[in-house]
Amino acid sequence: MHLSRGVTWSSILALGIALSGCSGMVSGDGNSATGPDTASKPAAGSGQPGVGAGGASNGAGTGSTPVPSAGGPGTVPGVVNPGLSAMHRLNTAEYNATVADALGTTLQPATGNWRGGEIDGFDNIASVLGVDDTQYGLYLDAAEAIAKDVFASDALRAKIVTCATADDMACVKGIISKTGLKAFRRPLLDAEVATYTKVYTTSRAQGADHNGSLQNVLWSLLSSAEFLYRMEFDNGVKTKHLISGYELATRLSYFLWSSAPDDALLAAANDLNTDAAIGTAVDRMLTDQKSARLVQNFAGQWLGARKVLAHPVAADVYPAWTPDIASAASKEMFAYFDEFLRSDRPWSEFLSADMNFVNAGLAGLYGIPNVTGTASTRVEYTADARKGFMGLIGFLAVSSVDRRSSPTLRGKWVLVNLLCSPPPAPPATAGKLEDKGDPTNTNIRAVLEAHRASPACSSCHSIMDPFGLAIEQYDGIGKFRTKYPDGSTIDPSTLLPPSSTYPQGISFSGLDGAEKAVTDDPKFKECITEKLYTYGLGRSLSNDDKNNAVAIEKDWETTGALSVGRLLHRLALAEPFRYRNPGSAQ
Amino acid sequence: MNKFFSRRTLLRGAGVALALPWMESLAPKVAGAATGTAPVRYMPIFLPNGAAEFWTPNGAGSGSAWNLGSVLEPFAELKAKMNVISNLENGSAFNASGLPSVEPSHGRQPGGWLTAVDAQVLRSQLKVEEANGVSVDQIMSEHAVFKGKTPLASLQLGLSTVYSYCDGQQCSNSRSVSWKTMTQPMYKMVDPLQVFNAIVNVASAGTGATGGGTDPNVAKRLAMKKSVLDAVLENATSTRSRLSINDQARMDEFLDSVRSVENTATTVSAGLGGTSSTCAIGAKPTMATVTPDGIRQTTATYNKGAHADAMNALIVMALQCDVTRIITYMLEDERSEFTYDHVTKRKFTNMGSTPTTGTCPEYHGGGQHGTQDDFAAITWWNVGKVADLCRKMDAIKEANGLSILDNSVIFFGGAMHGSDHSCDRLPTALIGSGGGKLKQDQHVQLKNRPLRDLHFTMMNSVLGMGQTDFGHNLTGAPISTIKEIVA
Repeated sequence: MHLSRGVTWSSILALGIALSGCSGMVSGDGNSATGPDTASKPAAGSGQPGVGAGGASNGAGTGSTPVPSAGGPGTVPGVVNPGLSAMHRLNTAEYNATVADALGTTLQPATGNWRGGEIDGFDNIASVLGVDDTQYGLYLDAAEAIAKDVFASDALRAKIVTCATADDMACVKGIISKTGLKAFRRPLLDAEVATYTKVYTTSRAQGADHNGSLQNVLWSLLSSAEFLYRMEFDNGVKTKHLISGYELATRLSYFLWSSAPDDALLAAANDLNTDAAIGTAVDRMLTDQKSARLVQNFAGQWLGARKVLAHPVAADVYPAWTPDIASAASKEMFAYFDEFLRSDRPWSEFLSADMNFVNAGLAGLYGIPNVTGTASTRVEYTADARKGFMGLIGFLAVSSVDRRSSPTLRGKWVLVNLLCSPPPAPPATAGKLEDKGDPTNTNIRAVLEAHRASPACSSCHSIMDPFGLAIEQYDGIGKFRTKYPDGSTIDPSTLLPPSSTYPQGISFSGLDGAEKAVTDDPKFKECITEKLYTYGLGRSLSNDDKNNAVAIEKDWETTGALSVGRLLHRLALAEPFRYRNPGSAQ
Repeated sequence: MNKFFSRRTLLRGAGVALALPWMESLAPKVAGAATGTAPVRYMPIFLPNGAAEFWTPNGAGSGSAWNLGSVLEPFAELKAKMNVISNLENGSAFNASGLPSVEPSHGRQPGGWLTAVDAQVLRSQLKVEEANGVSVDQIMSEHAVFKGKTPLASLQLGLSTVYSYCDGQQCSNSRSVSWKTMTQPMYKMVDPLQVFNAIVNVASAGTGATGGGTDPNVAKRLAMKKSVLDAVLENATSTRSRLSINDQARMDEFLDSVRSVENTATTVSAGLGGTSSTCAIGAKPTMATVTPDGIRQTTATYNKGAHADAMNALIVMALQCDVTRIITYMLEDERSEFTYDHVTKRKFTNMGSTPTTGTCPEYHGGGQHGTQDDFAAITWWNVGKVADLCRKMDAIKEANGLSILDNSVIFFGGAMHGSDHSCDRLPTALIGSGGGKLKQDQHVQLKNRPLRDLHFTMMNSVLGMGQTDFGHNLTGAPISTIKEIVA
């Protein structure tokens, strides 16, 4: 117990030498996709798409298992009950974006300190975004500071204070209605206007002037649940029902912009009830620069780009990794996804596109010649074997540990994020593995092969390790190499055991081989659909939701180009996006 | 004398807010005979990633029979005020076998540290995506021993500056150790300025501690704040009826939080904020702790040592001003990957440690899974900051003649053993005696004793709460008092 420490499963995970359960693929809950086809079929007995009678026959107040109808909302075939919808506290990115867009303030009071929950890889999942006393105290103070900031600016204040007569209650109520619409993302009820009017009158009684009193009204609006949470109302309806135009506008804007609907979207909200209107809105929103937040928050989390800057890299092992490189590598991951979002480039090329976004430093690490300057530029460099997302330095770094590459971590990353097929958690009886010397210099393949010799470990590692082993020619910061530091030659050939996707198993070699094996797996296209569905609706997917994601993917694939933009359209038009499921029996 | 209530009584009688110097003249002279009383404080301090092997003391028993392990060496001058407890385990909260393997370890074990509940099982029982047992600090804060005695029921603090990896579990299990209800993890404040504001909000108004006295602007702002909160409550209460059953539960959580903030504001506007003859508002902290992508190591504007020092000063301030008596403090989130490049590497033996060359790596991959010395050096540095805090608390005497440290119990430890991730042999030290309720200067070697027994002992033997149960023990062993530590 001195130098050769006993290492348990989780430490192995940390080392990346081994990762998952050794008890086969049967454990875990039935919801998680544990094999390529587990979640790929709609549940038996789920309704067929309606044919014939058009219109929204499954609207509010109808039977308990409505069936979507062709021609009406939710026209994607095979889509069944959406999962439960829940009120949704704005997370830090959404809060900052919302106050900037709706009020023009440059204050960004929501910080990394305002941590909400995070599950399924995203920080916008409603079920884990609660509030407590401390957090509410921060909201209250932030609202006060924002109101003060907005009213200190003549230009920003003028947008709110559109009539200047103190104690003219028609004027005051008009301002509250208009500001409330922006803050609550829906028109206020008369009773609500009356409630916030009381803040104005109290403030006046305290001696504040017209502007100061309206500033306090803004403080109260921004401190309200109706601002801090995205809410959808059932108004007594207990079964699945269409959401209102304002609610749909809000879903779309937080999906594509991480922010509140703008004035144009709010103005058109009541018309957001046809496929054409929704399609037009989506198109406009994607051309707006605010859609960069979709890249930042969706791709940034899903693909790990947001983690690059803070990813720990040991300076003594990788002196080449500098803040400049980390920053450029992070930007490259965003730019790479952004090109897929904004072009017709098919998703099937995500792992084979031969493009980079590099500055001089990052180009040097890639070995790409003739790039100068600190700003990133798009290049297509075909003289090396490296292409596709899995060849990006940012990806290769964040999927490594600080002192070396980690085939198991990389393999697990591919299973979880590109194939949506996470391996089960390791069993409590998982064995231990001795850490042999300095892992930086070790030929990891040999260590892993020894580990897999144990039948208990082999069942999981045989599916986790191959994708990582095939890309071992890229080190812990993504630099190409052919030998390990101990001088042994890296063999990137590997074998994936038989599965439903590859009944005979499949052998492949190198980055190119690994990327092709992932791309050819049907789960690859389902996976981006599932991730966008999760992020877009901000919830952990139910079994029905997962089946819906598969159906939406089929719809995407069979109705036109396989671009990310089209997938966003198909998602926005599908029933889960337009309906709400209130949940438990009432 | 309970300062809070005595002041409340005095204020009611006088009908005006009174300046501090007058209070001081009534307060017992601390240097003289210990005639007064002082409140008990409880403070869990969470050490992430377990501890290095050098945590364990040499020898067992009391007094000269034991010596501090070399990573606990910063506590040397406080050894006489400590219990180091060996062989506590929490695997029995997770496994019917009682085995100490709980995987994924970083994602699950911290959730059970103050609850002795397996969050994963509770989530599935309650059919919700986030759940845990109510944590011991929150059960305490809701009990009559603490409830309503201070403006803030409790504080949750931390030093994490970079997003931690949550081991594939709900991040609330590894970033929060306090749970207010079974579905409500409590966030923590990391920014010293936020903590300062939270304290000053309740400590200064009406007390004159910052010289503000009955500042009309303060009173006006508080009145306005109350009006804002009234509107928020009124509207949320009305909106609630339009929501689904599930969302109504979420809204109730919101309403509770707003009411709690309103109560605090009301307390303050009545001039009843934290009062103590030793209350001293320090300087406003200025350091930056937040950037959008997190801070992972020392920078030109960030130094973890300064961050920890600022937080220590704020904790002392909160205790001195009696704004709360329960503070839960996470030195880092579990599975932290912060790079401890501000700490020089050290060489450890059982007898002590000496600096070597180079700086420490990141906490988890480089430290916990790196060399024993690097892990020990990072643990030693964190221990040093806790020891600093304890010394500061020990330097302030209270009305009962004891120090704030004496009147507190600091439960300092981690949710896993160390590099092996095992949920037994948990690193655990108690500093302070809770006003004489605990024995001192001991290394207590238990035999695979459930952690929930320690929480049980704190609640009953230190605080006299009369609890009959706490948390889970899936092996069926009954809950019991750890008599070895009770005075």
